[in-house]
Order: sequence, then structure tokens, then C-alpha cells
Amino acid sequence: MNEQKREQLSAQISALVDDELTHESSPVIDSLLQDNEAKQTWTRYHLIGASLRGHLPEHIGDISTNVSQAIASEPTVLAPGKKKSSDLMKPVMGFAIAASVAAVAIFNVQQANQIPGAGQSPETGQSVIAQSSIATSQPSLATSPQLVNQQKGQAQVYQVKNVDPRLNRYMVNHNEYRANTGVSGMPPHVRMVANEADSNNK
Amino acid sequence: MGESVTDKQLVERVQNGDKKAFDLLVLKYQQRIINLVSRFVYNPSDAQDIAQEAFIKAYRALPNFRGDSAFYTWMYRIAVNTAKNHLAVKSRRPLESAHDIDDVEQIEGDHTLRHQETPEHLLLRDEIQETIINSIEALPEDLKIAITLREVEGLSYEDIAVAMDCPIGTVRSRIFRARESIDKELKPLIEQ
Repeated sequence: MNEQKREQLSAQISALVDDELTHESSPVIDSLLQDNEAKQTWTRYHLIGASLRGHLPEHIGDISTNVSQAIASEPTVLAPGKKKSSDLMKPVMGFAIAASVAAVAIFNVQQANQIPGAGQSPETGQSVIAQSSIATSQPSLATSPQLVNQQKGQAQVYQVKNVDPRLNRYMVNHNEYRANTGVSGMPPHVRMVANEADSNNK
Repeated sequence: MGESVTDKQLVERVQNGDKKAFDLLVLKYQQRIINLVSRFVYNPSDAQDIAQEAFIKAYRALPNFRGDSAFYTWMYRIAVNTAKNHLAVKSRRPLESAHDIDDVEQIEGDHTLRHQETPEHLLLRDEIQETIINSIEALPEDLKIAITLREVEGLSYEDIAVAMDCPIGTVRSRIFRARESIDKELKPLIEQ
């Protein structure tokens, strides 16, 4: 290293000693670790500061060599990696997605059952379920649910395609539970069947 | 004392497996830690041994250091505890047994409590201090003020720039030139 570069490095070490080299400190630290003369400069600059602040001990000795030798025989320390925020959020995100999916599904089916003509195509009169990510992404069902149109007292049964069977089972269970507990909600399937029977009797 | 960005970077390097980065922390703080420990033990040689042990303990404990406090604050506690353990083992009273840990920090620079300084050690320390003071006295006024504001008053470059009514780059240059000038006199003394 020539004289000019050496002086430039010493100037950077001086700023590093003062903690005023935040943006360009990494290469200077690299130089300190590789260049013994630079390391001695680092040591002496700190010694000057310690002297001026009255921090010099009665016996000025260098324990760095002994510490370094002792550490050399120690296992390398590695701090445990910090958990990423995405890792921490995974369980919460999973629950949130599940809850959102369930809420959308319930809302859609409720809308289709409670609002007259809802879920019905205005042109064809066919019942449809609002397109959702679930309904569109799942394959066709072997057993599709039926929506009962109670408009004008006439029961009409529409075949609904592309509904996840798990969602269907969930809705059935949900309705049964709601009916048993007496909480108002979507009319249970039994009631729909009864309505259909009544209509037929008329 | 504020948290040092450089210390933080060095600690992170050690925590990532770079053992050599710990050397720079030892070189930076060894005199201060030895000085601190010497408040607890009479023998300068014991003080060095305890300081050495404290640094090794700190290295082993570094994986658990989360940076909630400054490195020196953390190191300081380790050094004091190591010194106290040493005294407990030897069943000796510390020099300032009545002092709490926090009090020790306040008297860190106080030399009046030292009783067993050997002439050789005093000579070396006095020689170093005299060399540094003489070098500062010989500096041009602007360099002298800059290095004093930085090292004695602990001002940042920004504050010194305001105080001396000059750009930060000039402050940086003045402090370096002051150190360089002092170092020219100090280097032969240290390398003897």
C-alpha cells in the first residue's frame, strides 16, 4: 500500500473511531481485519482517546493477543437467525384466509336463498351462485346442491354446478346447527323440502 | 453513552462467525475495561487477567446479545461481574466495596483511589499521557480545538462543525490531522 492510500485509510479509520463513517464503514472494517498496520492505527487512535478521557489504566498492557488465542480454540459463535415477520404471520394468515373463505361462502348462499330472484340469471331464469374463487377454481361436483326458488309460491329446483362438496357439507352442517339452536339464519334444508311438498299438495 | 454503529457492525460480524471482528472490539475497549476492573482488584496483573476473562465470557455470550443496550454497557456489566466473582473466590474485599456498579462508572477516570501502582507502570502511563498532551499543545489552534471537542467533550462532527463554524468535512479532516500528528509521537513509544 503506497503512502497516499495508507493516509487515506488512516483518515477513514479516524472517522470510524468516531463512529462517523456509517455509509462506508464496511470496507474499512475489512481493511482493519486484513491489514495489521491498519489495526495498530485503530488501537493507537483509541489509546489517544482513552488517555484524553482519563480511561488509561495504571498498567497499559495488550490483552488482545491472549483473548484472540483463547477465542481461536472456542467454537464459532453464531447468533440464532431472527424469525421473519412472514413466518410469524403464517398461522394468522392461514386463519384469516379460512375465515374469509367461509364468510364469503356463507354470504353468497344466504343471498341466494333470502333475496327473491337472487342468484337467478335475469335472462335465462337459471339460478347461479356468485362466482367466487372457490367455486371457479374447484372441479365440477358429482352431487350438486339444489337451490329452491320460492317465488310466487311455486317451488322450482335448479341445479347448481361447480360447488365444492366440502363447502356443501359445511353449509348443511351449519344449517342444521343453526336450526337446532333456534338461531335465525338460512332456512334449513328440511324446511325447503317441506315447502316443496306443500306446493305439490296444492 | 450512545450506541456505536461501528460496535453494532462488529458485533453482527462476530455473530455471523467472524472471530477476527472481535479483536477490534477488544483493541477498542481493553484499556477502559482494565481500568474499570482495576477498581476492584489491587494487582494490575490480576486486573488484566480478569479483563481477559471478561472478554472471553463476552465472546461466548455474544449469540445471546440482542443489542438492546450498547455493546460497552453490556461488556461493562460482564467485566464488573467477573471482577466480583474473582473477589468472591479469593474472599477479598474490593477496593471500593461500598460502591454500587453504577458508582464505579462515575469514578472510572478517578486515579486517587489507586494505591499500588508500580513505578514502571506509572512511568509508562505518564510517558504516554505526557507525549499526547505535548503533541496536542504543539498543534495548530483549529486542530487542537477539533480534537478536544471530539475526544474530551464527546461532540459529534455535526456539533463541532456548528461550534467551529466550518463544514463537517473540514472537521473530519482536522480531527484526522490532529490524530496523525499525535500518532507520530506516540507510535515509537508504543513500539519500544
